[in-house]
Amino acid sequence: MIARPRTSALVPAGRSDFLRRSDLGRAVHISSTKTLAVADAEASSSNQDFEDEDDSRQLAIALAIEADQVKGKDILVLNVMPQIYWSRYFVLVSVLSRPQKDAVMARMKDLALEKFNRPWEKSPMSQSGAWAVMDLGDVVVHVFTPDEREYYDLETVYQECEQVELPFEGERFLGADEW
Amino acid sequence: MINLGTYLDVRENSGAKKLQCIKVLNKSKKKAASIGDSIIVSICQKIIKKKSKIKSKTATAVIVNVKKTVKKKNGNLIRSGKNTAILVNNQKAPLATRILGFVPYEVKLQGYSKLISIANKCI
Repeated sequence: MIARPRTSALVPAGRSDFLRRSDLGRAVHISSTKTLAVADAEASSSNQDFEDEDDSRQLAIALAIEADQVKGKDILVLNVMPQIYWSRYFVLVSVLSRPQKDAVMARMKDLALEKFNRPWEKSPMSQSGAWAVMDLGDVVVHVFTPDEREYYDLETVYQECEQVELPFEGERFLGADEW
Repeated sequence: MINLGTYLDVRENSGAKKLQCIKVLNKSKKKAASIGDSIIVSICQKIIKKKSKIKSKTATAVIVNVKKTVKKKNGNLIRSGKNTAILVNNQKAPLATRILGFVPYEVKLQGYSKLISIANKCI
């Protein structure tokens, strides 16, 4: 059964302070089959304050260069702004082993802090396993092994996003057919 | 509000169809779980898949949508028609490759950036 949105059900009677806050926020109901109302991008983007797009692009390219220096493979920088609102650039890197993954993450963390003043706290949730994620807000770095990268296939999810040109020729993994 | 015994739907392609909550994690005894909280579930129904990562009848799950109205930090109120969850492994990575439907931003704030990266839409 799909419940129709009724503002009276969401706003209790006799609560004037709630009514004033409800002017800023909006009631959102998601039905099981379709959305009836979705929050605006402005309300959603208030979750984070991003800096200029140029700074984000420079950070993403700098992180990709750093990954290349640690011999990361199949480095890809995607401009995901047209598709999602919570980030701007994705950096995808493949590594051969977990020690290499830790090294890549450590170098990127130091670079983000020293040159761009972006602190990032390492959490066990984002680091464990064969897929590590560094979330800097406007730039998100994904470091995984080739098997994990093929399993989750993020390139297909963001296939309509523009690929940013990198100032280096990176190495790539050869598939079984290419040997 | 998800408590012991609550049935949840699954909106991803891991193979599970219906879950039942058997334990709420990281909460005191009387508190219920909400969006972004992790629970231990029993897999009641599932589809048999060749490359399924589901090995046992129990798993850890992250709650994504709840029927109870939840207030977000920006003042919006959100509720869904069904209680849904996503299965994760011991390393907090999703067992599925794609998540259908909408995923709230609160899931990312709890540290599950991997889930939101493979989701269709985020609100």
